[in-house]
Amino acid sequence: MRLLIEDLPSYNPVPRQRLDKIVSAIYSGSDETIKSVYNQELCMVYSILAMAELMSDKNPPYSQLQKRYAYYGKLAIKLDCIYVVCPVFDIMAADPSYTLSQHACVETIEALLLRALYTLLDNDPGSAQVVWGNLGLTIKLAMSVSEWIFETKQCG
Amino acid sequence: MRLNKDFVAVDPEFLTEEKRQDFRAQLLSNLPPHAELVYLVDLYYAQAVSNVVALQTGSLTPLSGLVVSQR
Repeated sequence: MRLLIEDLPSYNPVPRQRLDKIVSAIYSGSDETIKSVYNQELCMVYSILAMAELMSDKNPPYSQLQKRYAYYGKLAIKLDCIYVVCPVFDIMAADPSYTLSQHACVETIEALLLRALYTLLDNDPGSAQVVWGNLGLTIKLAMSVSEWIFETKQCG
Repeated sequence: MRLNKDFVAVDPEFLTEEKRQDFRAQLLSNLPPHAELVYLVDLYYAQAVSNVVALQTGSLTPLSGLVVSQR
């Protein structure tokens, strides 16, 4: 029996319901709600827009708009340091503006995965090599984040 | 709306908190209108996800041109 693509479980790092929640928070118009959106979640939205623009009939593939969405996604994830996994509670106590979102978290992993998927679909020469590097980083971060979450739950 | 030149020139990793918030606000304001965003999100979940599956299962080569021609 021939296996069809439609029969396979789709690889989807960010489920639709989750993205809808992020989008409704961004477009809510309330400053407080918008503040709750992590920069990594903004990166997810831009990466998805870039990939969708690639498939859109409105513009040719690899259009300026698609490249711009991808670039904004890259900037959004760079607004926070993704290499710090465990939050420093002393600094958090001293500086109220220092939030958990400035550390690698589950959202960071999701955003990096989407960035890797976008790079895979992009026409940039050498993107396959870039994806290997990005996925390596993502996997290591995912291991560290899960370890930290496990430890926190154990301590709590 | 385009981002201002500072944002493009400066690496955001080395930004002050004030600048960081400013750039975040710029990124938020550069999102497309809600209707267009919903259209693109629908498109992503309808097509991009299945194309990635096709890449993983080898029914498409990892050449981006082929991915687009499959739509």
